[in-house]
This record gives sequence, C-alpha cells and structure tokens, in this order.
Amino acid sequence: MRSLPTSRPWRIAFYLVALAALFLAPVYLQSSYSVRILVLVCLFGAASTGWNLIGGYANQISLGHTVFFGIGAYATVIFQGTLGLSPWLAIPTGIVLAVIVALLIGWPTFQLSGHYFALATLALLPVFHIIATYWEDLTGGSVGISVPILPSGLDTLQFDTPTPFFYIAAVLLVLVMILARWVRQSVLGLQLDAIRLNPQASTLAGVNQFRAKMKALVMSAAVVAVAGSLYGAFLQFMDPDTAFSWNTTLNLVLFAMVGGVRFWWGPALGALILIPFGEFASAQLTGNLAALGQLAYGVLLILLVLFQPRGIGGLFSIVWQKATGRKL
Amino acid sequence: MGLEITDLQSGYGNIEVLHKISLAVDDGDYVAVVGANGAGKTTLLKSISGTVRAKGGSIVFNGNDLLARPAHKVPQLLIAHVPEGRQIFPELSVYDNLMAGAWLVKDKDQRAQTLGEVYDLFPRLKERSGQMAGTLSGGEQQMVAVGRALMLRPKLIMLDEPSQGLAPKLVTEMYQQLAEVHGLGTSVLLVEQNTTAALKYAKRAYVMEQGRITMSGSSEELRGSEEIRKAYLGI
Repeated sequence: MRSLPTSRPWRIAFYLVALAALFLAPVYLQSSYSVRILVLVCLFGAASTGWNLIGGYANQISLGHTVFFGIGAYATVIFQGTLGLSPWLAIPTGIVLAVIVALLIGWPTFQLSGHYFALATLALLPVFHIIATYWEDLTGGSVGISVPILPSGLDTLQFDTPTPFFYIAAVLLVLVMILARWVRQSVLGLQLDAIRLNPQASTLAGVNQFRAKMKALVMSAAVVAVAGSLYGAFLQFMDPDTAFSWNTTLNLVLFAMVGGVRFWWGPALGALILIPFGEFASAQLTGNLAALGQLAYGVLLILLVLFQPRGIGGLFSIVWQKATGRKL
Repeated sequence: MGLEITDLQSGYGNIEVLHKISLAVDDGDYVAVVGANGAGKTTLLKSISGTVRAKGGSIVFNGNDLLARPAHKVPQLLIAHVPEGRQIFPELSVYDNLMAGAWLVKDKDQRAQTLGEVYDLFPRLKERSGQMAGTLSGGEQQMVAVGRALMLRPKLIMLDEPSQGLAPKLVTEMYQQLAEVHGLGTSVLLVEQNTTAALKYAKRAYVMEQGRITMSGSSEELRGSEEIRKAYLGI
C-alpha cells in the first residue's frame, strides 16, 4: 500500500536481510543443482514480475508474454551462436523487438474494452511458434540453435559453475522488483489500480486508459524480453518448443497469482515457492508416482484459488495486519 | 458561458434515448433534471462526460466543444461527474480514492489544500482515510464518490442520483454539503428521481419525459405547478 511511512527502519532491515539471503544463497546451498534452480527462480521470477505490471496491476490478462520471452531468448542464441556477437548486445535488441510486438498488439486491442487483449495475446504464441519453426535461416527451424562453447567470462556469459550466472540473474530480479515497486507507488500504479477496480470511474477521473495500459505493457514486454535473453544465455540453446512454450505462459501467470498480483513482490514469491516445489516433485516422484506429484500440485492450486484468491501475499497481509494492526 | 446543450441526440447503438434536448447550466447555477426512471437523465450526464457518444447536436462548455473530446479529457475542463451507484475504487483506501480524483491537478500544494477542504466538508472521510473504501457504509461511499469529484476543484459538478439508497437523514446531509460546495462558486447539474429534494435545493429545474424536456423553470415555479405536484411530488 501507499502512504505508510511508519516503521521505515524495520522495512529497510527486512529488505537488507532478504537481499543478503538471496546473494549468499550459493554459499549455503553449495550444490550446483540447487544454484541452477535458483537461477530459474530469478529469471522466471523477474519475468513473472514483468507480466504482473500489466496482467496483475491492471488486470489485463496476457496469455502471450512467452512471445516476449522467446524473442529475447532467440536474440541471444542468434547473436552468440549464429552471428558470433556478444550476448550483451542481444539484450537491447530483444527489448526493441519485444516492444514493437507489444505496441502492435496493444494499439488495436486497448482501444476496445473487454477481453480483446487477452484473446489477441492468446493467438500470439502459436503464430510465433510457427514463425520460429519455418524461418529456418534465422532460427534454425525445429532443430534450433546451439551456442558453441566459448572461453568462460562475463563477456560470453558462459561460466564453469552456475554461481556467476546466478549473481547476474539475481541482479536482474532485484532491478525488476525495484521497477515493479516504483510503478506500484507512482501515479501510473494508481491509474492501473483504478482501471482494474473500476474502469468507468477511472475515465471519469481523467485517466487515459489506453495510454496507461500501453505504458504498462511496454515496460512489461521489455522486462520479460531481458529475462528471456538471459534464459537463452543460460541454456546456450533455443528451439521453438523451448522459446515459445505454453508452459512459460502458464508459469508466468501462475507465479503471479500464487504469490499475489496485488503485491510487487508477489510474482517473485510465487516463483520462489513453485519452481523448487516442481523440481523437488519431479526429482523425488518418478515412474508411476510422477502423476501423483502433478496431482498434488493441481489440488494445492485449486485450494489456493478457492480459499485465498489474493495469493500467498494476501495471506501474509492478513497475518501482518492482525499482528501489527497495520496494512502491508 | 457555462454549459450549453443544443438539440442533443444520444443513445446506445441504434436506440436513440435523447431526442433533441436543449438545456443550459450558467456559471454558478444549480440546475436539476427530474423525471421518472428511464427518462434519459443518466444518458444526458454520460453524453456530457463523453462516456456515451452523442449522435447529434452540440455540447459546449465555456467555449469548448465537448463532443470533440474523448471522455478522459473532459475532466481537464474541470467538469466532474459523480456517476450513479457509488462508483468508488473498493480495494483502495479512502485517501487513495480521493487522490485518484486529483491526478490532473499538478500543483502539490493545491492538492493538499483541496484534500483539507474535502475533509472539512466530510469529517467522516478524514477519520476513515486509511480504511479500504469498499468496507464503508453506503452513505460514506457516496461521500467518497463526491469527495473524489471535488478533488478536481471542478467548475461544474454533475451528480447522478446522489440520494439513491441513502437514509432520509443522510439525504438532507448530502444536500446541505452540496449547497456548501455550490456556495463556493461551483455550478451544479443534478439528476434526481427524488423530485422533492431536487426542487428544494436547486435554483432551476428541467422535467424530462421519455427523452424530451417537457417543462422547465425556477424550482419555485415547478413546485407550484399542478402537473408536477400530481405526477412527481405526490401531493
């Protein structure tokens, strides 16, 4: 919530502890398998936080954000694998391309009210999957593109252990969360709130709905594209199924909803809970038990949506209010 | 100057609700539009604020053509519309709801000053400033809706059935607060089914029936009219 300046030192102390816990994770986790999972938490947490800028704050549900993710990912492997250029150059390229796609999808649909945006984004993913499959000269078709092994270092984004990459992903996550917090507390955040809660009244209060949504969508697309670029660098490989996968779309939405779309830290929290949970379930429950893990996952999600539609963040805020008498 | 509506035609899709309506709200005026349910009163206000697109005629406010403006640019001319049915932002605090009415006001000091004035007018809102607006009583939610409109420091405030669903005591209170706002120089355009209240507080009134204006005059005249007494006042 806005306008609660009280107990600032505690808040800052909490942020510092959270930051320390994040950045010291490779020290206490030790196994490189766990660090790899944390890289995924950071990248998908950042992407989901980006999705939330438009999907959560303004409740303009996008089912096509994977496209921005995939554009960023392909930019990296094409730059590094095909062209032999630095992956750092791929990041701004991915941003520009993703923003162009975002403008093209937002321009017509945000002038209409209703579900046109969600429907249009739904169609976006198969279109890009097909383009990536058939534009073989650019994407390598369904075989995909692999990045050759290069000398390790910050310039190639290839490392002998996952730990350095984790630090890069963690920095991205922190920056994206700062952006999400800033938007939440800005005039734009209030406008997006108003659009979500009462579109008609927001217009009467002078909100240019079209412009506010476009701003949020462009920021959102850019953030997701950067996360995608780093994902491409992390995997050192990309094909249409990896870049433009339904799973990514579902995950971005899911992490945000489980963590709480009303909170700037909600999507990251969702990723922090669900990604390790999923990895654990698929590692421990093998063979016939694999279905059991998925079943448990599904049941948990249904329960959460039924009993705590504001996500785990909503649960937190209730507990916090009971304990301190103040809103989160 | 003020608001001038000439031969306004408006409606939804192919259905015309307003058939060539003309009315005026002068600077500092207090005008009521009364009439039965479905007469087109809400459509009239929505056409002025641009949330319903007019099909013909003209609406001019202080020399500005309102029909040439998208809805979100109408508040820039300092026209505030309090829609029917307590349109608030339920999950935002009272304070944030009020601030939502003020983001066109760039001057921070003016915002703070207006907020103080709104709190003076509705002391209840000050007490509840941190509370989620959706948890307030109906009367308090109506105060939030009116307060949000006032945060703009409007030259013209339009209200759609502000007394709807309020207890009689709160209706009186609401109208006294509105009279205070009017006293400070804001023009008021009020749409009401509650004809008694409307004719008590407004200076002038129009009677609307099936999308047409059938009568107009000072509130005093209309209160004295035989037809009005029979049809709307029930005496």
